[in-house]
Amino acid sequence: MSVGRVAATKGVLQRLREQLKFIEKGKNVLKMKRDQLAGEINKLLVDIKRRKEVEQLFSDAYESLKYAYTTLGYDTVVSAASAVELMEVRALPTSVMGVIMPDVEIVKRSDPKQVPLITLYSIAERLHRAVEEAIKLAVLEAKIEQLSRELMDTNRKVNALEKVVIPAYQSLIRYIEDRLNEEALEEFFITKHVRDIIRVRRE
Amino acid sequence: MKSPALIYLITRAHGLSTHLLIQDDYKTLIKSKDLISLVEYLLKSDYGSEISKIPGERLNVSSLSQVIYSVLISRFYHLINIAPSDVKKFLELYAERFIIENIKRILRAKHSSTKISSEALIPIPREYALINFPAMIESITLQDSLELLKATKYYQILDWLSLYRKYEIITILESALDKIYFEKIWKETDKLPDKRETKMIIGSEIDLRNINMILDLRARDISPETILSVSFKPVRLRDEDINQMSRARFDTIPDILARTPYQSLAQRLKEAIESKKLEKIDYIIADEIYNQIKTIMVRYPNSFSFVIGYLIMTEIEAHNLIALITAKELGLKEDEIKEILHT
Repeated sequence: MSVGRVAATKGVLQRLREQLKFIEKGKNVLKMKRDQLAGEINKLLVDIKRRKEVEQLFSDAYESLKYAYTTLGYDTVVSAASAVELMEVRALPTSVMGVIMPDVEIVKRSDPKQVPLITLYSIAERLHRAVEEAIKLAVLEAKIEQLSRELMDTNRKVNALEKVVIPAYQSLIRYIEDRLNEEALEEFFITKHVRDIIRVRRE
Repeated sequence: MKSPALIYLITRAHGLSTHLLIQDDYKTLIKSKDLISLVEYLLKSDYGSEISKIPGERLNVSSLSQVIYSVLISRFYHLINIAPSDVKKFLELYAERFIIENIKRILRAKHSSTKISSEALIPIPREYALINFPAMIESITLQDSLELLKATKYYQILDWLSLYRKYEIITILESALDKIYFEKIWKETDKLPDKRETKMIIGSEIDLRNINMILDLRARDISPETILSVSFKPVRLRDEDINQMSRARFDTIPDILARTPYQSLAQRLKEAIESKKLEKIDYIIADEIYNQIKTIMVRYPNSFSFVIGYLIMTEIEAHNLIALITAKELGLKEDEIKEILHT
């Protein structure tokens, strides 16, 4: 913050003090937001460990599907798959602490029981579970991404306030205070000097 | 005493069975480096003329499956055409399994309101297509499709409509269709020559399909009463076995089977269920059918059962080839491919 552009007056000093108070309040609010965001991320990070599980679930189901695809044949698998209705999902963005977070609602679930043939039914059940888990995980990952981005932004703002803006205001206030003190002192000396001159002339 | 026409049919079945792929063919096909080299090898077989009609850029699992099905159908109906009148009706009835499969495919699509085209069906010669498939495809709802079966020999399927509505799963109707089909087949076996051997071969298939269906429905927690209503009359199994399997917990069905003539199957099923590899069940049962049929064919080469055996073998060959082609396209290793074939 440029110091030279500010007039060193009591009015300016008072305005700067008020602004500093407001900025410090804002910094505290941002700090609270940062802590809350970090807490939220920490909570979500526990569930992100499920990624490996979900990947394994998919990998196993795909291995089985590959087996079914070869043993039953292309036509049979395609025909059996036609017996089950497709899953329908809807994206629902929600706002948490001003952060737009993605959410996915499963509007219509597919029923693996509709898949004929025990081979495909057993795989459909596993794949269905894997897809639902993957949706939950994708939402979770997207939430963490959004929250992390917001956390980074908030952190940057807190740091900027703490390390740049507030010290600049403080030094500006200090400068104005010094200038005002110097002016007061100068005035005091001038007054004293004038008084001394007047006293000498009277004598 | 067999009629000369029947002897001719059995002899032709023997002749035609030499056209089937043998172990060495499968070994070469398994070793082929890609789909193209596999197809090149098949050009020398019965599939050659049909495969050569496919343009190079359309060579894929779907187009090759269509060719394999069309060869399978022509093999079936070729034998039917040369069959004497006393067994022709039975063989025509036997070949209706393709009609049943097509009905199932249409009903699956109607069940989920998915579009289906005639290309998704097995190509059955017009003179043998007893069902108005185009009308079934065009129908809007599953109920409309079933109504079209009212005037056919599968009219009984409508009796299972209430059960289907109760569970809302297509497997009920599919099982009912199989029941109608196999019961018709079984009824006809009494009129066939070499009754004992023929019943043996048909009976094995019926029992094994029955086991497959019970496992399928038990895995879905369908009530024992419903399972019993769609199960077929057992042949080598006892009614009591079917009853017990229908009521048993899914994972204990192999234990019941272990007390029947299907002990070896019970062991394989138990292993699959215990290792949670349910996707292997259909293959294990198909493999058991293959082994049973092969044994009967070797044991009774001069009976009518050989003709039925040949037809089942053509079907197994078709499945093997589709499996091979799919496996090559998916890049499965040789050992993995060996495990999915019935050889």
